[in-house]
Amino acid sequence: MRFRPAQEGWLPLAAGLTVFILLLLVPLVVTDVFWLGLGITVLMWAALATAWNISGGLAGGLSLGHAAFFGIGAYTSTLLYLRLDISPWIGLFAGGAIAGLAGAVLGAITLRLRGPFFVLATLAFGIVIHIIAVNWRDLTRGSAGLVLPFGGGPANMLFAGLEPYWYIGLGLLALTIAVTLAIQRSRLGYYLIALREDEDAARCLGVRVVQCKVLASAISAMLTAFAGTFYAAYIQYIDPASTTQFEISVQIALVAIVGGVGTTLGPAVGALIVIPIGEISRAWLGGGPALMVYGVLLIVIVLAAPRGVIGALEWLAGRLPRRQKASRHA
Amino acid sequence: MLEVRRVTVDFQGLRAVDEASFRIEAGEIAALIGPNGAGKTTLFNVVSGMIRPTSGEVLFEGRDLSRLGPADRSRMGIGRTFQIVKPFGGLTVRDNVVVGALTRGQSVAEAHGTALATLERLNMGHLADARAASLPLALRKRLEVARALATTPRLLLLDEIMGGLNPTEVNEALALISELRQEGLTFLIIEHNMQAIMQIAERVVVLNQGCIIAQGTPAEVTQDRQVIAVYLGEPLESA
Repeated sequence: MRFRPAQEGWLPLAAGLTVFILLLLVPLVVTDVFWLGLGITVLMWAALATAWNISGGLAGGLSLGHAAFFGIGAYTSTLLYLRLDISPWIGLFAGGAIAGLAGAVLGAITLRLRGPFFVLATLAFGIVIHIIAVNWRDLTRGSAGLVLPFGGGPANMLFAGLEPYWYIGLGLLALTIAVTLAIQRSRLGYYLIALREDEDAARCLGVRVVQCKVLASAISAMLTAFAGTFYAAYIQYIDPASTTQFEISVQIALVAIVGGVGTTLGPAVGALIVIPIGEISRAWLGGGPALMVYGVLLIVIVLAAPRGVIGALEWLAGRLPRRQKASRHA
Repeated sequence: MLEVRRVTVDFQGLRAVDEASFRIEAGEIAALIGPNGAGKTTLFNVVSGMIRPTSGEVLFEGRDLSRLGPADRSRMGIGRTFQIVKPFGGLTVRDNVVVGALTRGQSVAEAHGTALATLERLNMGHLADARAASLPLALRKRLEVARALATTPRLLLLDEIMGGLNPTEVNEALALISELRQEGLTFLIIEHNMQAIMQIAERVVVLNQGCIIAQGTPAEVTQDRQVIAVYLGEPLESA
């Protein structure tokens, strides 16, 4: 199902808090580096896909350029730290601001584009940022990449162990989901849904298209950049291939699509499915065979649940009660 | 209140509206009638800002609207419905109306209250939680009106809301329009149901092939030879 304005209720809130607390306890139980590292990667992709979903699901434009914002976040905080000794904790917001601005501009440009034209415009934007990252060597050192020196300490978001990254990643995911929920309950959420359902009708009710779409695009870009800063601090090495590359954009969209575009939790669920499949098959099978297995499994998932996993679950859950309701009215 | 001045609309060589001029006073119920393809809906689209006229202008309460889009015109107090209904199908009936109320600066909670009150008024309160896409056409038309009313318009453009309604529903619609007029709302109504619209309209504008061929009171217009020839047809008695 697509986004609908969120309904109030203490039950989802309680369930959400319970899951959050359980997730806080994970590093106490999972101590193996491989599995905890995998968990952190899942959290980051869940946050990325959830952020993507704000423009891709709520505003209804399938973006294939979000790696640009991811890269802007990663490079901004890293360069500020390396060149000016500014902590990535501050760089996080600088990257978010720059990406937000870029998102606003992109939102304004792509405002009137529909379907494939919108996709192509975002794709081109992503490629432009990638080319800049590769070729502006004085700034980014190009394909050689940038290394964050070991021993920066917690004040610079650089930790020796994995646990802190788990908590930061979890906070990032919680933030993106909270922002999504807040938008859904707000004026902006109603306007975006109305615009997606019928733009002409929405405009004639007084909904201002430009404001809404630009704002949604900026928020989505900003949150994506936060994840970029997080990635840089976690991996402590960035290059264009791991941040601004087209494949990153595709994977962000893919995770959200597998989980369920336009659902609140779908993108996070998508990450929980897609990322482990990718990582585990790579660890066990390596290189080529892993990609084949990954691809086949994705095809199976998309065929089995064209509206995403959450969409399929909602469909199943909707069958029974709806039948009961129908018979009651009859 | 509304003044349409020499509005012309060309669609790639086809002249849909040709130098149309008319005005509506505050508190009036005006009808826009004419055969299919006469340019009535095009004229609505010009007034609501959905399309820009090739030439001419629209004034609302003395202000030139030329530079304003549909959202700004809506916020100035011009509401409209669509002949081909445009519900937000995936949303509930209530949320459809909430969108209209929100643009008037109400909080989400207030807008929910306004939406329910508006739906109750249109006898749709019991449908508030139904999905808009599940409504039959007659109710979708009523939802169009509810949504537009939630924006608290001062001028309401209704595009064939009575098509497909049974006589009881037509009378309900007429009663509602009269009631809203009492409260100070001004109407411009496109309608093919002549018997219905002539009961409430104080001013009738007749459009044929993009040109206004007559305007005046219902009595004047129905006597007009040209109007009879192109639209109303000969009365049965003389046939």
